[in-house]
Parts: sequence; structure tokens; C-alpha cells
Amino acid sequence: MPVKRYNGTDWVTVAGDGIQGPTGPAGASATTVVTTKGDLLTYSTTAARLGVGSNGTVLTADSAEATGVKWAAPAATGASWSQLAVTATTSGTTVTISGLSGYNQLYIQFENVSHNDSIKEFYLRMNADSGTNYNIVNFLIRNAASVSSGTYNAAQTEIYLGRTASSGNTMSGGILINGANSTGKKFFSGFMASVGDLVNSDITQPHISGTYDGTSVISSVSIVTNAPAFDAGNMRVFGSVA
Amino acid sequence: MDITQIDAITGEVTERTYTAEEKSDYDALVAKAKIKLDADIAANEAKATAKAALLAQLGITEEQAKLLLN
Repeated sequence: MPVKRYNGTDWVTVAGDGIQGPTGPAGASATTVVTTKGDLLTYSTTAARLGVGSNGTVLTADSAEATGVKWAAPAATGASWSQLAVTATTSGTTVTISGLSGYNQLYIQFENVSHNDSIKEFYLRMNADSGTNYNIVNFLIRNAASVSSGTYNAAQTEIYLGRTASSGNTMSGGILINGANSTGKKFFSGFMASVGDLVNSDITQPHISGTYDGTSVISSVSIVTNAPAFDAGNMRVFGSVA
Repeated sequence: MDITQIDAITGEVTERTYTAEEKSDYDALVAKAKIKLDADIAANEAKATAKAALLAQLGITEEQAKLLLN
């Protein structure tokens, strides 16, 4: 029994088994184009077979192909890290690395940072934001034998990194930020170690994690001290787009 | 200069003083830190005083106390 289609005016007989478009020419039979398990029916100027791709490949649009599609390996989605910048923390009270937009993950590394005063602290801010947008869980180990219980402090105006008792005492550590390139909440986690806290013999190790509520993507990070100035060390930033 | 800023894209380094708003933010941070630090120092001193009093009461040195605890 012939297959008919309506062309807008009349019912006309369809060649093959009716694969052509509603107003197109008589087309090939689907059963003559696709012949093998996994075959897809595609089209350039005529119907064309696209054989199934290798295991794990995905159907990908490609205008360079005659039919506009091909099988291809999926794009890599894992994290790929590169160093974005490093700067000395040797002067002033704020050191900033900017130009960080476009990275979903950032890792900020503090390397032997010190200040030029007695008993002063170090803080981290994102986008120079001094609003109450930092919600922090802090677990502090002090002098090994003295371990504090964890504390949660919401709506902080900076992330506390550590305290050193005098110039020459240093703070090192790292903070990982996830979701940095989103306008939603960002997650951060890391730990620091400071040699010298209230006195030179103290060793403190703040372990922190939390969320940052700022609604802009992170384009800069700053380390700040309440001492008159930094006098040694580096801040280094790595980024991953994924 | 108060701020050193490096642009991760261009590598350009800028050094400048705080703007009035940044200075206000920074002063607030320093004032808040001082309150916390004063409290920590006071607590540390009180702890040291109590420790010294206890050692005197026990009639032992700090090193001897450490030996006992270990």
C-alpha cells in the first residue's frame, strides 16, 4: 500500500517508506540508509548514515562535516591548574592579586609571611570586601597540646589567617576557594601555621573552612595585616577554570 | 604606600595609598583586632599567673610539672 503525504494542496505518493521531509523530494528509505547497530540517520543534501562512534565518544556538532555532526571524545572537564601570579609581601599593609575572574577554583598560598611589629595578625579578603560576608568554622591547634574546640563565626568581615609575635616569626599556609567564578556562595578551606603567636615560642595552626556570601565573581584576593607593614614572604595564586 | 597590587593578567604592579573608604575599613579592622588582642593577652597573663601560683603551691618547677604530665 503506497504511503501518501499532504503537500499543502494534494495527497501525493511517497517513494520508499516516506522518509523525506514534508515538502522535500522523494527520499531514500531509512531502512536502506541505516544498516548497522547504532547507525544514525543524518542529512547533508541527501540522507546519510553515521555509524556509531567508539565507546565513550559523544555526538558533536561540527559544521566542517558534510552532515554537520560527528562522534568525538567528550571535552575534558577536570580541574587543570596553573600559577596565575606571585607577589612579595614585603611592604604596605595590603597586598592584592587582581585579574582572577574566569577561574572556578583558586588556591592562595602564603609563604613565610611576616610583619614588622609585635603581636599582629594576618587576614584574607576577597574583592576587597569588608562586609559581613565571611562565615567561618575555625579549629585552632596551639602549641600542639592545647587544642581548641571548633568555633563557628558567621558574618565576619575577613578571614583570620594567623598571628605572629614579632618580625622574623612567619605565617604560611593555603586557602582553596571553590565556586570563585560564580555569583553564588563560594566555599573556602585551608590551614595555616604561625611560628610565634602571643610569644615567640608559640606555634598556632588555624584550620578554617566556610562560605563567602559576596555576590560578585572573585576577581581579586588580598592579604591584610594590622601591623605597620609586611616585611617578608610571598603570596601566590593558582587557578583552574573547571 | 599602603597597597601593593599585581594584575595576574598583565603583570602590572601598582603601589598606592588607601582611598578614604579603604582607610576607614582598615582602621576599623585594626581597632577590632586590638580589642581581641588585648583580651587574648589578658587571658594569657591570667593563665600564667594562675599557673605560677599553682606551681608555688605544689612546690615544684614548671619542668617538674611537665615531667609529671608526660
